[in-house]
Amino acid sequence: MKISLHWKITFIFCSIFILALLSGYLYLSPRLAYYFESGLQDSLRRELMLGRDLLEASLGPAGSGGNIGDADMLARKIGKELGLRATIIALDGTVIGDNVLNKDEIAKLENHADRPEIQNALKNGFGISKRYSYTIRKYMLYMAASFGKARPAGILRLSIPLEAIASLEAQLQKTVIFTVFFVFLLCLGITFVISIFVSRPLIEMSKAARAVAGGDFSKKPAVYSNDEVGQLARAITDMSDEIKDKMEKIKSESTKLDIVLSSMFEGVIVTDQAGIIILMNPALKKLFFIDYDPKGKRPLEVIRNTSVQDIVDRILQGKQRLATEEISVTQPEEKILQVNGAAIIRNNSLEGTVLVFHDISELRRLEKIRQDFVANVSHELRTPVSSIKGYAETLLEGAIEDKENARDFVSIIHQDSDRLAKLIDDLLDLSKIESGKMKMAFLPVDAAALIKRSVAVIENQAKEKNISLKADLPAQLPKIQADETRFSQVMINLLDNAVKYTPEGGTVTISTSIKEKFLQVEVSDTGIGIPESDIPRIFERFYRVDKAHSRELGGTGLGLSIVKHIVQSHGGQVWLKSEPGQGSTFSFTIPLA
Amino acid sequence: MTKAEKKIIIIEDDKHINRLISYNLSKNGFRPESVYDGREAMHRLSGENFDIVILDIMLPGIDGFHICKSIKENPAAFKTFVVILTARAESQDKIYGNLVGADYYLTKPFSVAKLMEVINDLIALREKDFSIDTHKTMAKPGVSN
Ligand SMILES: Nc1ncnc2c1ncn2[C@@H]1O[C@H](COP(=O)(O)OP(=O)(O)OP(=O)(O)O)[C@@H](O)[C@H]1O
Ligand SMILES: [Mg+2]
Repeated sequence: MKISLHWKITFIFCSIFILALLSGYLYLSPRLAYYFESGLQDSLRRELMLGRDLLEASLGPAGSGGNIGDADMLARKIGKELGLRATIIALDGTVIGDNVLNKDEIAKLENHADRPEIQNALKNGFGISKRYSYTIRKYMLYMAASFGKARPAGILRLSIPLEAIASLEAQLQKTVIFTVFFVFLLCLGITFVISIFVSRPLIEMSKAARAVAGGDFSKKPAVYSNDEVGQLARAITDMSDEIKDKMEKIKSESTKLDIVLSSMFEGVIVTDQAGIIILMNPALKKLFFIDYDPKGKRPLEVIRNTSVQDIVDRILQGKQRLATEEISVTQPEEKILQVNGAAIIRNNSLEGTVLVFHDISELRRLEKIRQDFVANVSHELRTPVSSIKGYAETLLEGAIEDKENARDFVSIIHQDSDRLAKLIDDLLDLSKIESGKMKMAFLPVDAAALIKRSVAVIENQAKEKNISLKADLPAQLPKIQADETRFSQVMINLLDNAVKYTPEGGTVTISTSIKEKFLQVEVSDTGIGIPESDIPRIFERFYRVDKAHSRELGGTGLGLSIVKHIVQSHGGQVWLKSEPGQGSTFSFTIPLA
Repeated sequence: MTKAEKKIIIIEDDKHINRLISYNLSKNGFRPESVYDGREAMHRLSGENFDIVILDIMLPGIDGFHICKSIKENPAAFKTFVVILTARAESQDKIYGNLVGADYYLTKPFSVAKLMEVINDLIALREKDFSIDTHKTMAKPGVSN
């Protein structure tokens, strides 16, 4: 059973009080009774002397003998006066007067000569006795004295019930009990107050300590004093502050770690030394579509990939501290992931592993594009060079005399040199744009003038194919914010394509419109068009719908990718609509000045 | 069998180069056939067995490696020599050419004289094979730049 400090203090205090009180009572009570009794005796004696004097004064001269009538009357008078029982007894022991009994009763009374107080009074003139009175059925204190002028004439006896003393004692007892009870209540009150000063701070401290244990740092024991309790309270407060600080530091560290892990693009898994997952960040869960808590499982159960499990195993077996593996996943999406595993080593012992997953699909894709581009460039350069070299060689080996073909061959050499030169120009342009090294001055320029100039460049080419070139321009065209040369390059490339991929007799139309803060230019033709499946790739470098046809026309497949780059550097967009066999419309936007 | 009776096909999408090879082979007494894309080439090859196939790799339609592989996997075309003539000059491309069974790998830009020499050698090798008429020995694939 748990008894609180408060009650312990109360109990001890009450016990001490009550013990003190009781021992006081036990010590005092007999003494008080004695004191009362002797006081009673003293007053009774005084009254007895008074009664005797009264009697002696009323008696006749000595030797006249007792008069019973007188005696009885005197007894009644004395008794009445003193408020006691008064008895007058003759020297022979016969009761001759009593204020309590009537005459008949007195007559019936036995002789009182044997009563100790009477005997003593007869012998010494004074007697005292305490005993039970059968006459009036009470414990009584009797006191007797002989009276008479020259010689004793009789005995006056006064008596008082001892009851008075008993009731006095009872009174005392009652007082003590009442006092004990009162003191007990007082004690409760006092100890309550004491407990406030002693046990309250302790209780509060214990509450505060328990709150700290439960992680609540807001409760602090109020410091009351400078004594040991106060010091303890302060110590607890300091301790709580210290713990709070430490906890906050730890918490902020772990939230920091949480933030880092959850905002990381890379996937992270941490396992313990048994290879059981103890942490997996959201990026990795997303990567592998894990919608449950993978804690407590092995990596293989969660990511169904043996290479990943293998890395963990190798590190945990101590074979490697670092391991890198490239894995490819097909579900839910095809991806290439680089997995870097490392051992977690603390105090020289292996505590687990940490795996970081990088999604390198995009990297690989870009790498592939770059490789393809390099291969394409090489191919595109080698082809015309082969042709030039081969025809030159053939001519030198004697074909120069072959009048039928020699002219053709020279013209092919000429064409392919041009193609080579154009390719080199285009490649240089492209690499300059892509590396951001192309100098472009975005100035307010007259779009109409530039469009007309570009049309003039293509005019001859169109005429040769009997294609009508129409520029449908409004009288007043606002200025655009563009680089003159590059804007013309875009126009010429689109017009060149339109003419190239439109059969004889077709039409190429240029139109413009204002779209919010942009000038939109459209180049439409009635040419061969572009199949829907080729449209998404048409702006890719070297992409041609019909390679042979385009090459025959002197194309490199770089024109549209240059167009796209230039338009985008101006902050515009380029797109197309096409219907195979019907024609194509290329549109682009350039910001207005 | 005269040179004119040898069946040679030029699979090359670049018209200039196709014409260049064709002209020079004709000068050498052959009667080559020209094809300009992968699909057409596959079509021609499935119908006939050639002595020599001059094969470009980067072709529209079906690429040259694929064509070479299908020739070498075709038991009926066991006599066919494949000469790859391509702008793909990376060593891994050459290794791949070897893997699909090409008999010779020439990279662009090439020497016309060298190409003629390779073809004449291969023809001679085939002639020898059949004149001895013992178990045939395949020509060792060669590589040249
Ligand atoms: N107006 C058009 N009509 C039909 N096809 C087109 C048109 N414009 C472009 N194309 C197709 O898009 C391909 C890519 O065009 P792009 O201008 O990039 O290259 P190119 O014209 O072949 O060569 P270059 O422009 O470098 O001389 C072309 O080969 C052609 O197949
Ligand atoms: Mg073009």
